[in-house]
Amino acid sequence: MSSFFEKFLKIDRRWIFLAVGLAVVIALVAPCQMSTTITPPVQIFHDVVAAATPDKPLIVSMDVGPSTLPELEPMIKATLRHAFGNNVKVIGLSLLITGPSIGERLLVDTAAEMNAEFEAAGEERRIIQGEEWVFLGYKLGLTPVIIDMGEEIRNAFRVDYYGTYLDDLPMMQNVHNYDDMSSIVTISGTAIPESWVAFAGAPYDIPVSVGVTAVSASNYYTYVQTGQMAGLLGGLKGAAEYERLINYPGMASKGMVAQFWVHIIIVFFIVLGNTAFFIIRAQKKRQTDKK
Amino acid sequence: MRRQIPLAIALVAGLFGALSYFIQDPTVQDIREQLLAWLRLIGAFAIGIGIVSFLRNHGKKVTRQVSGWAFNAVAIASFLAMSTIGLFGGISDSSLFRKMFDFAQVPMEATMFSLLAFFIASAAFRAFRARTKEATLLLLAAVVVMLGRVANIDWLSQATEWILAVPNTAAARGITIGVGLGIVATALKIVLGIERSYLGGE
Repeated sequence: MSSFFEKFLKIDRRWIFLAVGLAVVIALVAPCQMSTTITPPVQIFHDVVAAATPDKPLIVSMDVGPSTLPELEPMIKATLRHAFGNNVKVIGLSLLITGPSIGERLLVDTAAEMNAEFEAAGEERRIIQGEEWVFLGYKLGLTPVIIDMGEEIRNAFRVDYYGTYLDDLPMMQNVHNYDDMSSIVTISGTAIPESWVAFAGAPYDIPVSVGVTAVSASNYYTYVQTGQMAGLLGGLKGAAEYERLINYPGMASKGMVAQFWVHIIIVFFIVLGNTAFFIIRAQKKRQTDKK
Repeated sequence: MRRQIPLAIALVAGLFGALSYFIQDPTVQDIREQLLAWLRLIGAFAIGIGIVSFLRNHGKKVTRQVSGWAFNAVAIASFLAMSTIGLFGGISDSSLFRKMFDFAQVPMEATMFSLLAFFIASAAFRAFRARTKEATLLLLAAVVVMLGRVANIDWLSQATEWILAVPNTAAARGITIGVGLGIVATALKIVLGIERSYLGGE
């Protein structure tokens, strides 16, 4: 028995890789989803976006890169669907150099997806670029950009991503600064949400809702507790909770099955590893006592 | 004089930057906006410096053919290729630049990040051992959070939220306040000319 545990502690890590790989592949291929408990930070995030009104657009800052997309893309998509579904206009932008093409793709795809749904349902409503959403693209200089937008959005972005002057976009006619916007949603795998809180949320008194990767979510609980962040989506779980709240079972809900099985496998290895560790340690102690 | 002028600029700019946050006078705010525009320009120069530094460091390794120099050559070639394609071919949806980003950089970065799941699983198995009281506490918290983040069980989810909202927040807030005070102290030292290492030499 003890030799089994000794061997187990020295298990080739490729077996662990195989177990994790199989769990992910099978869970993603299998046609199953799982429900998830709604936590307070996600509920707050949802309520803030739901409180946005059609006359005041929502800023969605997509400060993302390819590496964090599996966790953050479902959050962006759910936020856009939630806003568009409530007739809330969206101002998209990115303060991270890798973000613009991703942000633009998500806006275009989500609008097209919802337009197809409206068409299928026989509704006349359409989500049109320039009227329901604009994409400002990327601007260098994180903090000055956020501050500039508080004075006049045109100081930071004279034209949108496609080169159209903001004054020529119907949706932007009466939008000048944070007073004309309902709230800010920033989704990022970096520390950019802290800048939104410090240079937009605090001085201009506009709610800042945040979506981040699971690994950095723990850093932001302090801001949620003080109310400086109006809600928090943490990793795939946060995205799945949000999808559940808006009744849109997307990639996060599906990905949670894979995450569930991977976590179970990790806990299984940890528990078995510790059991083996204690058994071997007890045996060694007995042997030493005998001598 | 070579040192006094930069120190004076740092003093004036630093004090103005801090005070203008609290003074709502239109003239002060206009000057503040101008300074912010300068800040963006300086940021753009920093990119230029970054490019020069990147090319110099990698170029040195390639010319000296140090161990692994081929990787440095690939880095330079990739940088030059993407810059040239972007500058001359544009960055529109149908451009080669966009295709290179969507079909090369995105999958490569995603692959690198997804490998973490495998290494974390292996590292957790080897590192999480209840050798001491502190390690046991860490182990238990990790297991509760790992399960609470995925299992649809109310009490487990609540326990996870409690760990994140109470002990985690207490520690994170302590660190955040410490970092904040450190930033204020360093900024004050620079503004008052006590910290001069940014001038070089000292």
